[in-house]
Amino acid sequence: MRNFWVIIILFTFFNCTQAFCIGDTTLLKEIQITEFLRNKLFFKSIQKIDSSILVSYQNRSLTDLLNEQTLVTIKNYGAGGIATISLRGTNASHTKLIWNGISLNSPMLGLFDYSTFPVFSNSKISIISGGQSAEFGAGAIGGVINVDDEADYGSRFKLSFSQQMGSFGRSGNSFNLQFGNNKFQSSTFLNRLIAKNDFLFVDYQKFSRPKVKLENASTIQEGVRQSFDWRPNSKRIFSLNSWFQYNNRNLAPQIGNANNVSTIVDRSFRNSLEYREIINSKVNIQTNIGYVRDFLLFKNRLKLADSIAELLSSQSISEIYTLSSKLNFKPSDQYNFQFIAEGFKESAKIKEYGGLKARNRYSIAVSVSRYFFNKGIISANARKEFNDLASPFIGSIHSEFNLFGKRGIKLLNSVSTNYALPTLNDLYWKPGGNINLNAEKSFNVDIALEKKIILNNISINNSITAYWSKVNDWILWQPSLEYNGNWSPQNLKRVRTSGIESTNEIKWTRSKDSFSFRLNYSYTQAINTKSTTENDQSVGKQLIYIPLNSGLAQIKYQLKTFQIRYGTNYYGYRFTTSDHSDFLPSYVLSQINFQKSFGYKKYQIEIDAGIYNLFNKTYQNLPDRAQPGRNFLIQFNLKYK
Amino acid sequence: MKTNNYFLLAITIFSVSIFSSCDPETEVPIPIDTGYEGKGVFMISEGNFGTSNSTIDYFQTSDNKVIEDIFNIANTPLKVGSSLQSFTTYKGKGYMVLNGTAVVKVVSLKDFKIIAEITGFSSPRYITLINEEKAYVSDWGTNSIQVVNLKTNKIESSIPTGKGPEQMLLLDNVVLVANSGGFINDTKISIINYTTNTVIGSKELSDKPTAIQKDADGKIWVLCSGNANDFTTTDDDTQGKLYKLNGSNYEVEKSFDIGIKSNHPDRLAIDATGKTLFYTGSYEFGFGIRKHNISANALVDTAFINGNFYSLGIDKKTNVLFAGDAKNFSQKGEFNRFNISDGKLINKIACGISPIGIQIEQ
Repeated sequence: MRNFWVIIILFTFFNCTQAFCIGDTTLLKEIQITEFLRNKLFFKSIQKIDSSILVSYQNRSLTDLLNEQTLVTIKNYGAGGIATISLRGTNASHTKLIWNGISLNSPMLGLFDYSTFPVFSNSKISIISGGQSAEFGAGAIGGVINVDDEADYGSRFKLSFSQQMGSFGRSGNSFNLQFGNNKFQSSTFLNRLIAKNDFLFVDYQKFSRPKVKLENASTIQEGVRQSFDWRPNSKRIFSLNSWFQYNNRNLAPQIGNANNVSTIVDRSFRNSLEYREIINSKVNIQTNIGYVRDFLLFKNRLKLADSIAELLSSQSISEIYTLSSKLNFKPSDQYNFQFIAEGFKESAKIKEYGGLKARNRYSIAVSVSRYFFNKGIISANARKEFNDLASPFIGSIHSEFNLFGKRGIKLLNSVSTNYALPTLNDLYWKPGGNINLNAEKSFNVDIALEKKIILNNISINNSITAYWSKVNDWILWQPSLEYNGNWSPQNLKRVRTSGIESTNEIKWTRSKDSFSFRLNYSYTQAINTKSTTENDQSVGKQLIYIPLNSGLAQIKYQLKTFQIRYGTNYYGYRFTTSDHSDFLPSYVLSQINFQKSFGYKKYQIEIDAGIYNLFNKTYQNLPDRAQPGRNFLIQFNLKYK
Repeated sequence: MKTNNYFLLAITIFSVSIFSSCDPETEVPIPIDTGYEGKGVFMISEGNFGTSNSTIDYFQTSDNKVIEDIFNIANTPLKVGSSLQSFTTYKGKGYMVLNGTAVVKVVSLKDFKIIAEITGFSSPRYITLINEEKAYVSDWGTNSIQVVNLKTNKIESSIPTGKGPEQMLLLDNVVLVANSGGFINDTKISIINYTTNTVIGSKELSDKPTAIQKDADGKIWVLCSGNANDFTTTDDDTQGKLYKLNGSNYEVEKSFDIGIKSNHPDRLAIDATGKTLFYTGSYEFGFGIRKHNISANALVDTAFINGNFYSLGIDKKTNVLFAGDAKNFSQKGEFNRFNISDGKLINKIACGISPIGIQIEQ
């Protein structure tokens, strides 16, 4: 802990030198006490995606957005293929994706494939790093990616059509219709995307090092999202969000494995029905019913001389039912109490389980917050989950204080315990599945400083976060004596993570133009602290695929309706073997976007042209997974209001 | 993490020199003479599945020295490739059979430099050098033997076999092929006349013939793994068996049931005298390495050497048993060297990821 104070002191010094020019801060305005508390609680380290840049990401995958705009670690299994996330050095199953209040993580694998999530530019996307289990339940050891589609009751009619075209056979279109009044809103979003991903790469395993075209990498994605929002009066809101998504992807083989031509088809149906009501000035309630159904068909295929042989065909169906209720009670300006009761039913059917396997989970959570006028908040949260496994009783304490009165330095502290349940695969997969697994548990400490400076037309935002966490009983699959040499999961691993995240932004706004510069950096240490085999060479070493250093720098210039953005991302080296005998080199990727909009009467046209991997770098995110060189993408959006 | 590290880091952030962090230094391999003396053992490692990190390390018997990753030293930046299944030496040349990359790379044993690449396979497993002009490559996925012209290094024809051909055995006029079952199952070995490249017969044994050896008396030994069938249960497993065949008409002379039904041994080696067989299972924990005297009438149902081994090989020049330990498959493995007469461990030698076998110069 002593180490953290060094940083705090440094940071404080850095900020105090500029403290004379602080404008008025409106920190506590953000905490609208009577507001519905969904996702509006004060949290440590929330990173919100600037909605103005979402035009460039319309109908592109969430992977691209997170890769270019944030420092989360994405494991990208090739163009269009599977992509998983790691927040703060944790596993893919340690980050929860929450869409309109419901978790979309697969109950079978515990993770979410971010390449199957096309961005809809009306969404609000935020990344909440660090353990959040007391608030969001099981699985949020590394953090939460939160996506909300909120209705705009001010809007009457909006119609938009977008068309995109890009390198390597990429074309897509999307359509959005929104209509309604101040009581009712409907939004329909249709999207379709086709990509061939047939770019060239060097096959460095062949004698002649030929440039070959990537084969078996094409993807088709289609989706429909419909939301109805009904606000009969100012105190009640009903929201229904439904989303059907179809993805048909060929999985690009690893370089040198051109004969492995696997495919994956998935169909997901996701529904969230939410009811919120302000009962009186002291009490409000929220109820959410969720239903998610995922169908997945994976085929492992081998290309033969003149045919294709199917080695494996695996089909699964999984379902999640969620019912959650929250009650907020605010007896005075100083206190707020929140009570949460949740129930989940997760089930999955796959041949390897020997039939349908289901799990029921119930949890209750309590949160108490104390507000100190103009000074800050302390909140204590506790949660207990009931299921067949031994789930720990967990809790967290968060605090947020303004240091130095109104000078605008915000100090955020958090201490939490968190957990992740074994997935259904961990429990039931045959052979190997282990029903005696315990939940993975973590202890997490966070400290962050945030600072806003507004000086005339310049605003500066800085934040620095230091964290430390320990994950016990981390589930690891490895060959096991008990299971006759089959791979089997055990609560074997212990991992200690610690790191620093810093975000810095300066924005200069004038009457016609604005300029902003953003610089983010993260240092992530994730160390395996326990030996899992005899003579294990991975003890004391960084986990594989987690870069120690990563950073991004972005410049944005806006002149009236014209915008130019330049961003560059640094992705540090990653070890690829747990004994550190091999690694993948670091890389820097840059991209530039030009955006322009034209208006005519009720019509508006937006054009966004982007050049990605601007300097045509050859790089690998994962071993032997080819990545595209310089590529182009242009988007036209036609809107009618 | 020490205090001053954090301090330095914080400084780094503020000085905006965030992109200056360096990658680990790698030894830049200089193309040199590998020092190959023909007195050692090539240790073959598959690497991670699908990844191009297969390796061959060279173990010098004289001084226990290991030259790591000799292909890389001699051929950088060309990589070995993925899933190196076997490496066979023949008259000064080495043939690396890469199951994943689906090529056979030919190297000169003198300096380990690549001299040719044979392509056109689906999933090649083993190579048998018949003479200086002809080689057979078992191609697991295509259920055939690819006939390679060694003058041109091209596939000339293919001979259909049973399902999933793996190991082969070169005899006087024929090549025997163990049909390991491929995607489903097979129970036969194929007999190929290598002069005419035609299948002249087959012999029905039992589920999944995987490995094949010849003993000092000219008898043929075939290890049949038995079929696990549905992996979710051991109820439907079939028995693993060891067969002794007549060396001229390949009739079964003896057959032995190995262990229990759920054991599926798949590695078979024979010592320098040709009188003792050793076998293990790459996925059989607790099975250990078992030993069988070629004239014995029953199998010994206990392990000769205890442990979990992924592979098995015998250095016939020194009569030392090499047993590969893959650990957890995500880090470098080891070869355990055992004294073949008493099973005592001589030493352990670090090798690449997933050690699959050894090869000596032939």
